[in-house]
Formats: sequence, structure tokens, C-alpha cells
Amino acid sequence: MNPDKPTPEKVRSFLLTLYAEKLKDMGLAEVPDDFDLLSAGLIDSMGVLEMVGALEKEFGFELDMSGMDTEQLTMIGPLARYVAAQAGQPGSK
Amino acid sequence: MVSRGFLKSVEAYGDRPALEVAGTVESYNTLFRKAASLAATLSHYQIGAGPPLTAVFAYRSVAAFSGVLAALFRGHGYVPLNRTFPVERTRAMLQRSGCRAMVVDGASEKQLQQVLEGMEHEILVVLPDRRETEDLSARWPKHRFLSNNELLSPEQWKPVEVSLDSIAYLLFTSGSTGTPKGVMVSHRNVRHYVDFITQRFSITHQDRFSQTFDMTFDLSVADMFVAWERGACVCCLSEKTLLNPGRFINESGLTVWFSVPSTAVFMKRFGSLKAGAYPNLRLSMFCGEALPMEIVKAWAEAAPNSIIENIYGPTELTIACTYYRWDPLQSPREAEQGVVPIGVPFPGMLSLIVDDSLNEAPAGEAGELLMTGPQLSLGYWNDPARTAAAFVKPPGHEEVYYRTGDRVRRPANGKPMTYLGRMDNQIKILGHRVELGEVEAVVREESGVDGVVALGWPKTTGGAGGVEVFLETEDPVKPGLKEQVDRRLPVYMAPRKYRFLPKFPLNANGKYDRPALLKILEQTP
Repeated sequence: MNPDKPTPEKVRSFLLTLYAEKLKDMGLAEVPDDFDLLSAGLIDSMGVLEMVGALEKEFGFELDMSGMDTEQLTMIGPLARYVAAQAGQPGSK
Repeated sequence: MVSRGFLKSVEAYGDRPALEVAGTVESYNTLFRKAASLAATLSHYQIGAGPPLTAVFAYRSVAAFSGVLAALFRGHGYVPLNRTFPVERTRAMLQRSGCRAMVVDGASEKQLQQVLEGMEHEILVVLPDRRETEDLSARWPKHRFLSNNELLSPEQWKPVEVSLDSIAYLLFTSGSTGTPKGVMVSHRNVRHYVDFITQRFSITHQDRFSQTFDMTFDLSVADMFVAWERGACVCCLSEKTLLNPGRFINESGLTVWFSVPSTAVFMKRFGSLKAGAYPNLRLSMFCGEALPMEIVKAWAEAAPNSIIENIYGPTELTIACTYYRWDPLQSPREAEQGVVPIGVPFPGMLSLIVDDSLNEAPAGEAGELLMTGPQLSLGYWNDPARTAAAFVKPPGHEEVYYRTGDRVRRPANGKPMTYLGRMDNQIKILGHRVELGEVEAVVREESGVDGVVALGWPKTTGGAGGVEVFLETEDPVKPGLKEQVDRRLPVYMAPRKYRFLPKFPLNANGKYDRPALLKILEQTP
């Protein structure tokens, strides 16, 4: 098994690190599964593009987000699970 | 009148869908009844003698669309307000417009209370999503509130005739001195756009249109009134669906797509422009910012049965006023800097490409684009100085032209016009027009620092992804500066990052060297 293969937990913790400063400013003790980065104002729509770029760079494969439910696109939990599932798809490198 | 097409469609296609929004479908009949009921109520309870303008404080909801129609049904122009904008900005727009009436949807109520705080004149507030208004009336006895239970019946609405030159909508757009400008667009202006587009694309009652734009963005006018002119349906996307609308296109059975190019850029990035993905689209239009050729190529593959047109035009010239048909063989040769041409003026519109002294530039040369014709708007609301500066008679011309501030190449031998950039510091962010001067003015006021430069960053082919600012100061950031600025600017205009330099680089004229500052962004992103 590839040790770098992302699990939902790894993706989640990467996202939490990526936005650590902003999350700290919000004073959140815990980040719930349905925490929405966009609705909470942590990122804007350009930030969504940047986030996808950062995930691809970190985990080393090209993400296909077309299958993601848009209402959940920027929710930490569903996003982490989607990205992890994508990594297991044939064709991802 | 703009709403005449809708009324004809109510007669012809009453039971067909006119609108899909927020999970509900409204037929022409049901939408008409809602709007007529609001219009009758607004007229009946009118307060004072304000201007013929009604505000619509609603966002991607049934009340937003019925509110727009209601304003027009009562012979008023509508003033769109947006709950995703900062409250202060919304209050300033409402105050400046002088509106004595507004329609508010449920989701905008939270902001309504803050907007009313400090409003000088009395306002009639109609809340079709509410059952009662006692709490509001108790808190603001000065204003009049009406809930859904107090609306008059649609039968009590009486059609009102207005002149073609009266205002159809008043739309505020970024102003370089720090205050937004209200562009007055007339029924005649909109009529010309709607007639041209409906005929050019043979729109029918079977078409299904996207509605990607906020109502505070004038391109939203096109979807509504072109669709309703012919009995077609408008399908409004939610704010989030806009980020990746691929599924929505197919699930809603769209035939006509209209968005800023940035939306297509997002879709490409998310893997949503796969070959043959959208076979039902027959027409795709892009407007609002430079259209990158790479994006059109990807779109053409994803929507193989669709015509693709790039249309262009500032709010002051009503939605769009030039057009260009994408052709896979011809267009790559006509594009400049990887950007699709903006084409030729709509029939009836005239263009003039001029040098600094407003004299026509030689063919093949670049200059500022000036335009006139039936879509030339009425100017800026209560602002003769700024109207006079932008609406001018060039030497040797009898007609008033609008100065777009856009640099285009004057075509030779029947070639299309190509967009080259701006004459000034206006940029496009996701299609939104942003005067960097306005951002600078707000940051200057809130920080107390005189030296402020705002730049579009990161750069995209269509414009910029956002704004970053430099402050000329040695002091560390004033606490709360970002929050204060964010309170005054819409999200897309609010600086994403603040940078501090003790001394700004200057150019040969002793002005702030913007390209040098841009270089700093490139080197230390």
C-alpha cells in the first residue's frame, strides 16, 4: 500500500493545517464534519480553485471534482471523503 | 415596456414554467399573480412622493423575480439590492436611490434590520415570505411593513403605461472615487437588446435559460427578459451551484447558457468540461470579462451542439452591445493575446475608436472604444458631473457617445474588434467591474494611511482573481483594519491580503510605480 495514499483523515488534517490561521482567528474549538469553508468566509470562490490546486499538489494527483455535490463542495468532511475516494480511482496518478 | 413580453407570454403560455428557483417552479400564471399582487400593494400603500423607483432586496428567490416584475408592473424602475454585499453599501444605495418602497425576501430579513438602522426617509417594506410583521412595526414605527397576509389581490392591479425613456432599472456599479455610481437604464435601452437577441437566436417557449448572475449584475436582465419575451423558462442557480454547475445544466435541461467566462474556467478546472457533457445546450453566451480562447475550445467540446458567442458591453450601454460568433477555424486567427474578439456592434449601435483627444484612431490601431445608439443609457443617477465626464460628444460628432474606458483595436477590412485591456485602473474580478480607486479610497479612509495601491491579483486571462493592497507605512497593521474594510466592500472587492512597505517605488513621473508593485506580488505571492 502506498503510504502517501490519502485517507479522509489525512485530507482533513491537511485542510485544517492549510487554513489553520483563519480557523484560529475564528476561535473554533472543534471543526465539525459539515463545517463549510465558503459559507464561513474562510475562502472565496477564487479560494476554492486555490484549494483544489493545493490538494492536488499535496497528494500528487489530478482531482476530478465533477462528481461532487456542489452543496458539499466546500464542506470539510464530505470534501475529505471525496478526495480520498478519488485517490483510489483508476486513472489517478 | 420591458414587462410587455412577459404579459404576452402569460396570455400565450400561462401554464408553462416561467421560473425555477430555490427548488420551486413558477408558471407564467402563478408568477404573474404574485407580481401583480405585489404591484397592487406597493401602489396602494405608497408613502410620500419619492422617485419612481422600487428596491428589490432579495437574492435568488421567488420574491426576487416577482419583486422585479412588480416594480415594473407599477410603472417603476427596480433597484436591485444584494444581501451578499455589506450592509453599509446596501444602505448607501437605498439612501442614494431615494426609494420609498422595497420588496424583501425571507433570507434578506436579517440584513434588512441593519439596513433600516439610520435610514432617513420612511419606507414601505413588503415581505411576501412573512405571515406577520408586528415585531418589525414595533421596532420601527416610522416605516410601514406588510406581510403576505396583507397583500392586495392580483385583480386589484391596474396596468400602468410609462414612457419608453423612463428608468427600467437603476444599477449601482463601482466608482473610482469611492462611491458607487447608479446607472439609469431605460425601457427603450432594454427593448433594443431583447429584440435583437430574441430574433437573432430564434428563442422559443421551449428554451430553458440559465440565470447565473446576481440581480446586482446587469447581465441578469438579459436572461429574464429574453426568456420571458418568448415564453421560455429561467432556471436560477444557487450561489453554491455556480461554483460547479455541470450537473445543474443537465438536470435542469438547459438549452441556453449565459455566464461570465470565469464560471467556465472553474468548470474546466473541476473536470466538468468533458467532451459531449452538455448535448442539450444549443446556445452559449459569455460576457463580462475577457474570454480566453482555451476556455471556448473546451466549452465547444463539452457542448458540441451549441453556438458560442462572446458578447461585450458595459452597464452604461445596456447588458451587451457587440457580438462575435466563435468559429473553430476562423477565430484562432482573429484572436489577440489568446483572447476571443468582441466582434461588431449590435445593429443600430455605433462604435468609434479614438485616441487621447477623442479623434478617430487609424484603422488597425488601438484606442478607446466609444459607443452610442439605442442602448446608450440615461447616465448616472443624480450625478451630472460624472455623467458629463463619461457621456461626451467627440469632435465632429452630433451624437453623445459613452466612453467605455476599454482599449480595443480598430479593425481593418471588416475584421472584428479585439479587446486589449483598460485605459485606467478598472479591473474585472469574476466578471464584476471593480475600480481599484474605490478599493484604495476605502482602505485609505479606514487605515488613515495616504499611500495605498490596490492591484488585481492573482492575474487571470479574464482579469483577476481578487484584490491585494499595498500600504505605504512602517507601522504594523492597525488592528481591525481588514474587518472595517470588509464591512464596506463586496466580497469580490475586499482585499485578500494587505502588504506594508515603508516607501513605495516611484515611476519617472513621480507617481506610484504600479508595475513595480505588481512585480513584488509576482516574486512573493
